Amino acid sequence: MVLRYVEDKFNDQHIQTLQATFLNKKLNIGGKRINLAIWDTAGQERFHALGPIYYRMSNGAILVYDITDEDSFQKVKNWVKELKKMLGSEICLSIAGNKVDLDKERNVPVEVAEEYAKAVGAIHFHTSAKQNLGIEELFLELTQRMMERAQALELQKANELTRTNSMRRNIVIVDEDEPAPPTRSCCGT
Amino acid sequence: MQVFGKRKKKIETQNDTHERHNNVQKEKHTATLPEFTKFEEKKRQQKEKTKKILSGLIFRKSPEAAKETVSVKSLLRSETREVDSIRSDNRELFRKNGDAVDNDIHKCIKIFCKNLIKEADNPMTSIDDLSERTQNFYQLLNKRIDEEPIYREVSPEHKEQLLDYTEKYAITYMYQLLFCPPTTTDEEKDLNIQKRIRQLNWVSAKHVDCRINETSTEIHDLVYAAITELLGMDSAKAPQDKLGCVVRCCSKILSLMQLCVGGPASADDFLPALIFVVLKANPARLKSNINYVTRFCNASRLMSGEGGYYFTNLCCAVSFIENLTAESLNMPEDEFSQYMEGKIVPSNTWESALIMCEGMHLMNENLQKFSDYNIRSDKLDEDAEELRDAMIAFHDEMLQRIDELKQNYPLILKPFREPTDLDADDPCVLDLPPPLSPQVVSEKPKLHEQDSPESPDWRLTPLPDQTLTAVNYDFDLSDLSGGDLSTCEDLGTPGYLSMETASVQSLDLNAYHPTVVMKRVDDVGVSLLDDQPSSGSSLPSPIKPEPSSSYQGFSSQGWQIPSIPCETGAWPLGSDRNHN
Ligand SMILES: Nc1nc2c(ncn2[C@@H]2O[C@H](COP(=O)(O)OP(=O)(O)OP(=O)(O)O)[C@@H](O)[C@H]2O)c(=O)[nH]1
Ligand SMILES: [Mg+2]
Repeated sequence: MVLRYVEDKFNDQHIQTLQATFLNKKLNIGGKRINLAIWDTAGQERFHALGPIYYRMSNGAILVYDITDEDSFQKVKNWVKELKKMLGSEICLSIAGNKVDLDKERNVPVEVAEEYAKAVGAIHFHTSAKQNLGIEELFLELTQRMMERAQALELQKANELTRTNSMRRNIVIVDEDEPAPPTRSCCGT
Repeated sequence: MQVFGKRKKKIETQNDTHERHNNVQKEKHTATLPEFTKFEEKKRQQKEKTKKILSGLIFRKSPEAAKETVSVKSLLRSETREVDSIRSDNRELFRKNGDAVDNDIHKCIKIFCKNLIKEADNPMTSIDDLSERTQNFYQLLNKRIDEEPIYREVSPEHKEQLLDYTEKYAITYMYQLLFCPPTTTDEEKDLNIQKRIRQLNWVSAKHVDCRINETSTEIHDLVYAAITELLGMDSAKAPQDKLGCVVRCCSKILSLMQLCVGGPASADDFLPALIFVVLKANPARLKSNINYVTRFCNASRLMSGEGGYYFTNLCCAVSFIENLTAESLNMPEDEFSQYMEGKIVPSNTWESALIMCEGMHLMNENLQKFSDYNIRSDKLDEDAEELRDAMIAFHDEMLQRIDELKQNYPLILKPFREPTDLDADDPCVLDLPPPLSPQVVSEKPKLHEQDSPESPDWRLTPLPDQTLTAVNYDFDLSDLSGGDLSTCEDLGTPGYLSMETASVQSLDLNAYHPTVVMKRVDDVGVSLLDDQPSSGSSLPSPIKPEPSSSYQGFSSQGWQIPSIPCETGAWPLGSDRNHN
């Protein structure tokens, strides 16, 4: 998914992509300069415990599940719980039901997913990396939301005049792509 | 000589870094070599001891506290060269932005360093407090550069460079204080992870799900390059330089993985490969380096950009290695423990070759060091040769100048003054005109007459006169060295001694008087003056001895003239006579 985003949308210089692990993108949303850093994490189950190191200072996360894989949706739920627990409600969450091109094999009902997303304060997207559907919107919306959240926090902070170390967060907006591992991914759908 | 002094200093500083390297290497060995464990223990104890001493000093404050700051200063002084080179590297940046910017930045750095050093002195301050301070400073400076009018003309790019410069300069300056400080357990953690990685040397790429295929040399080279970059992290000082090593290492890994995967690598490929590289590199002081970067690298840099991403992945890799179990390698428990105990040894040749990477690196480091020593010893040889040539040249020049001097001021070496045997039949004497021609006189009886100074004979002697001219106007060294020294031993006779003292102190005429010398001569049994009185009678009028007190007047006057050291004149004469 990051690869799709990197290759199709942001690689305007047509440089051959060497990697799809992270991406820095300068965006201009509403006249504000934004430095978007997208970090992919290793999806293997054995690296799950390393999650906190990745998302430590992040402002948002995209949780991806495979619509044909019920199990992957379950993992998204676990991620939401973990992130909320670790980062508080400050974090902006997006949930992406990926592989909509395989809608015939869908195993996660649209309503279930959207309802869940609403319940946890996340926005749900339908995407397809294969067909490049909904991906740009997904990133753009999340960026906007993170920016609003950051500005609100800054205002709040200025009002409270508290100088905590969390000030660091406002320097850059960091977004991490946290794809919940779709179980079938290893076989290569 | 000056050149030598400088060289020595240089060698000393080199030794310094070498010593540090050595320590690291010794640490590396501790896990395998039992005799080093003791050494390590000792080292740690020593460190703790200094820690205690330091804190004791601080608690007592007063003069001891001042001592502590002195030691901190000497600690910091070791970085001045590095800091100076950072400054000269950025001269262009400051030249472009003017003196005001230059002054302001350095003022900020100075204040910050001063405060932080002061704070570090306080035993209640933890390293995290210092880190917090540092991060706050970065933010304040960022704000200052954005808002202060002096910086209005500075381009955003230069602003970024100024921030980088400040960080690099300040943290490098305080490196000794901030890297692996004794107040933390960083060093212990370093040793633990090093030991653990060594225990895990059997872990293969497959074990960690790393898709490195080891077939091509290109891939091998990239693995080695990545390992080398990672190992370089320990020798960098500024946080961003350490980060730079991580970035270069990871870029190598990504191009490597791109080759292996045949397309852009994802995080799923990247992290295992990084873990693999960390396992094979076993970098020195890994935890210390990671903590140092985390604490003192500008946090904004660690949260974005490739540096931040790669560094985060490195942290992940280290964390994975620390918590690695049979499960995380998808391996049965008993197989894992068998590997850990060394009961099973990996079979793959390239991988086992990589196990030796650490050793290889050590060897390379040592080779590097040896070649360094080689260069230095060559230089030493060269210098020694130079010195020798200089010495020879000096010697030659000296000789040449002596020759010149000899030519300009010729030293006429007079032949050994042949003692004149007045009794001998000298053919020349026979040629003398009548008044001077010697006459043979009977020997002994006259000697007795001379015993009395009142006797007119002694006043007649022209000898003292002769000696005066001879000695005072040309310094006859050969006489002194040859004749005089040889006689030194038999100078014990009281008459001779008294003459010496007399001439120096009281200038007692009687004591000096040639008659005294005569006595000695007499002792030897040779008489020289015997015939003088009689010859005197036939001398022409000016030389003719006059039996009056006027001559005594001359001689007493002569002794009162200090510029004519008559006694020197007496010596050769006396000795000459002695020779007879
Ligand atoms: N048909 C279809 N296949 C997709 C789509 N997106 C990804 N895939 C395939 O799904 C597999 C896994 O994709 P990855 O991008 O590796 O999945 P991931 O989220 O990074 O997985 P982890 O890193 O393990 O969490 C690949 O074979 C992709 O080709 C999609 O939109 N449609
Ligand atoms: Mg992935």
